[in-house]
Amino acid sequence: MTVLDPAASRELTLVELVDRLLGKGVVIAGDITLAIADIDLVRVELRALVASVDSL
Amino acid sequence: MTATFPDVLSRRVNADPEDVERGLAQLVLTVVELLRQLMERQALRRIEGGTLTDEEIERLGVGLMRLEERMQDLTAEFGLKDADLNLNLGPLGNLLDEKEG
Amino acid sequence: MIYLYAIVDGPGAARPPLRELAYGDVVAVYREMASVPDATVESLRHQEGVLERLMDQHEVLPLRFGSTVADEDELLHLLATRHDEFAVSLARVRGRVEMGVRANAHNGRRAAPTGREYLARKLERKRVAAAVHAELAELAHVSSMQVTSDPGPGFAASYLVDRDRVADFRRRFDSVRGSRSDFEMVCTGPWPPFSFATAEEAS
Repeated sequence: MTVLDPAASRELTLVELVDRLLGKGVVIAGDITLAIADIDLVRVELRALVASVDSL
Repeated sequence: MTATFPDVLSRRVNADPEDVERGLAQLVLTVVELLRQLMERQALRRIEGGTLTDEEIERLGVGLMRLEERMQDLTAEFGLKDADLNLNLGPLGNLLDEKEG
Repeated sequence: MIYLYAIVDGPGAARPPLRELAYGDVVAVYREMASVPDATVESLRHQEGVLERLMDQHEVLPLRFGSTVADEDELLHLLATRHDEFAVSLARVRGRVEMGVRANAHNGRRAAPTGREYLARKLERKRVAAAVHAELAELAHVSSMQVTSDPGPGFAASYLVDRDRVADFRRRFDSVRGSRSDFEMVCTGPWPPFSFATAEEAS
C-alpha cells in the first residue's frame, strides 16, 4: 500500500514537527525547561545511552 | 528509581492502581524493546560483517524472533500499543495523544 | 525572561512582539515572556509558524523549543561566545531548506520459518531503506539518516536542499515512493534547518 490514509499522514507529519522542535535545533545548554514527567526523562537518557553503545 | 517515582506516575496518570501498573509496564517494556532493537542492529551488523557462522545466525534469529513475539504479546496484554513504546519519538510521543479536531 | 526563537543572519526580521539583538552579523530573535510555554501541539505549531515567517526573508537557525536566557545581557553574552559557531552554521544553511522523510516498512508479521530467514528479511529491509535514502540524498547537500526499528524497519532522514530544488526533491520523492510498495513514506517540509543548525547534527 503506497498511499497513506489522511489520518496516518497527519500523524506522521506531527511526529516530524515534534521531533524537530523538541529534539533538534540550537541548544542553549542548561536552559531548557519543559514540562515532561520524570519517566520521560528516563526514556530520553536511555535513548542517548543506546545511541552511544550502538556506535561501538 | 528514586523515592518519588510512584508519585511521578500517579501525577501523570490518575491514581487508579491499574493505570499505575500500566505506566510501570510501559516503562519496563520500553527498556526491553530498546534492548531488543539494539541487539537486532548488532546482529544485522555482524551478519553484514560476515563474522557469524550459519549456526550462530540461526540461533540469534530464533532468539530475536521469539523475543519480538513475546514483546508483542506483553504489549498487548497491558493494553499498550506499539506507539506507546515508540522510541523514535523518545519522550515526546505523549504529545501526539492530544489529537486536535 | 527572554524566550529565544532563532538566530538569523541580519537585522529587520523581527516584528512585534518579537525583538532582535545583534552581535555583528549574527542576530537573535526573541520575545519577553513571563514563563516558558508548555509544549503542546498548538504551541509547537505556533513556534513553527514564527520560524517559517522568519525563513521567508532570512537564513534561520532555529532554537530548540523552550530555550530561554535571563535577560539581554545574558543574550549578548551568548551571541558573543558562540558568534563564530553561529556564523558557520548560517553559512552552511544559506539558500537552503530542510526536507524530512519518514519511511516505515510494512511489517507483515507473518512468522518467519527459520531464525535465519527472520534476520534475512530484516537485513533486506535495512538495505532497501539505505537505497531509498541514497536516492533522495542525491538531491541534497547534506543529509542525516537514522535507521528506525518501529513499527517496522525504516528510516527517518533530513535533507538540506537548495530552496530552488525543493520541487525536484518532491518529484524524486514521489517517484521513489511509487516504486516501493513495501514502504510507507511521508515527505514533509520545507522546514527551517533544525537538523543542520549545529555542527554535530550536520555531520
